[in-house]
Amino acid sequence: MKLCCKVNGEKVEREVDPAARLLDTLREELRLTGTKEGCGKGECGACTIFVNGKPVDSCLMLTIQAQGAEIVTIEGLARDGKLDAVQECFISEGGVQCGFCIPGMIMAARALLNEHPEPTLEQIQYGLGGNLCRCTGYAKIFQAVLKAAQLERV
Amino acid sequence: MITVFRPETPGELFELVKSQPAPHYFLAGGTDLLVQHKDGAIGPSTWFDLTAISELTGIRQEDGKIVLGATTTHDELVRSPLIQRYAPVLVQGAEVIGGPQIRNRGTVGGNLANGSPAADTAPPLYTLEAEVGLSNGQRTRWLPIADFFLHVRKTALEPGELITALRFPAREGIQGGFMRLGQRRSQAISKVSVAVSAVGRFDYLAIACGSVAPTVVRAPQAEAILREQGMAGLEEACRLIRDEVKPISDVRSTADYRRATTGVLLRRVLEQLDSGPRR
Ligand SMILES: Cc1cc2nc3c(=O)[nH]c(=O)nc-3n(C[C@H](O)[C@H](O)[C@H](O)COP(=O)(O)OP(=O)(O)OC[C@H]3O[C@@H](n4cnc5c(N)ncnc54)[C@H](O)[C@@H]3O)c2cc1C
Ligand code: FES
Ligand code: FES
Repeated sequence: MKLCCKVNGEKVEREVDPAARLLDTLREELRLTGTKEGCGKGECGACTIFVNGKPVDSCLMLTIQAQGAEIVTIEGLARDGKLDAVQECFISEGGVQCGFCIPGMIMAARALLNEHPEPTLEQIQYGLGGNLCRCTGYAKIFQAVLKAAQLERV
Repeated sequence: MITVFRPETPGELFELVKSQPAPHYFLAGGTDLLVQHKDGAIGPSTWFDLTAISELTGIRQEDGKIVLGATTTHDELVRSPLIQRYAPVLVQGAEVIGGPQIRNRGTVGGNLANGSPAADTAPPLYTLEAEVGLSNGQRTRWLPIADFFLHVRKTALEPGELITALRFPAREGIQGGFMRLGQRRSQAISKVSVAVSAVGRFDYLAIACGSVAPTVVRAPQAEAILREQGMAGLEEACRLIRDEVKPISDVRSTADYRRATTGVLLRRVLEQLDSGPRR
């Protein structure tokens, strides 16, 4: 099929396998390898992207379901070479260890802050409930999200 | 090999169902189907994506009833003013499902179609005395939800039949509560769940429990004592409900634990409900 959609603000028109997972189309066809596959079953959130502004697991979507959609991946968060505040704060607060979960974690955190610009710790935990991290123990990730919220308020 | 189609109207869908080779699967949010596929449980088949069919989505009020399309997502339920007002129990059921990513894709139709007694929208819908709308393209029918679920993983769905919508009466002043126990807060399957919907103390009352029998079950004895005595019947209701459920022991929990915690959850839900609106 011919997939017509928007990815990171750019129009995409391309022959793809409609039954491939959106995750595979992004990684293999569009070479956007920032989006990771952890479990492939909706458990870990490493494959989180935005579809029409909402965070979803790209391992649980077929490519055909992205027809006409607006997609944002981790590659699309930085603007004009400047990292998003969430990305900055994951670095400054030491929220990253091996890094594998981080693209998904940052997409979920971005979605959370779009909705709750001044989140409580509980809201952060609920908002990141679909993401697993095997390394950090989460404390510094939560701290990074709180910091990003502060940064964006000033 | 999976072949997938994305029809835009019910007519187009049922034409495809007629003309394409079986086995057939309907695909909504994919949060169950793609997991089964990943597990190797699904062989070569034809899939029909339902998410481009606008007739299957949306929440509206119609002739004293709330009608919601089968592909309404859990996130849409949580945010809907109509659901908040007329089905607070369903808001609480939907908001604990999975994590944000699952709630943004997973649908109420997909949740019910599996026939899982642990589906978290099912006990809330039992307490609303919801009906399930079904269609095979020729015939449309509405079944009370209790007649839709037959056994574990068994529903009244016939081959080629689609869940199109859910509907339930719009009851003014309804309150609701849903609580569940699982391994952890997010992304966990319920071990036990209790849903309650009530108007007054108690002009209307319905209690339903998930994961404690082959299907969701109502608790008629606990309901009767509460209708008769109001909140004064709480102790007795929590005692009675333990014997109204018929749980099994499995990988997620034991029968004894489930029986005991059903009573505990009923108490917590009713106490929360009695202390006023949650938000
Ligand atoms: C990590 C994770 C966590 C989860 N947590 C929970 C939880 O806490 N509580 C819970 O209840 N569930 C949970 N689930 C299960 C699942 O997300 C829900 O059951 C969801 O509602 C399924 O809907 P879907 O649209 O994604 O279904 P799909 O995967 O699209 O479909 C599921 C099944 O239903 C059929 N189907 C779909 N729509 C229809 C229709 N309209 N008519 C007829 N058949 C149809 C499909 O053919 C398929 O067999 C979880 C899943 C994952 C992966
Ligand atoms: S890879 Fe998609 S949720 Fe784990
Ligand atoms: S940093 Fe390694 S999994 Fe999160």
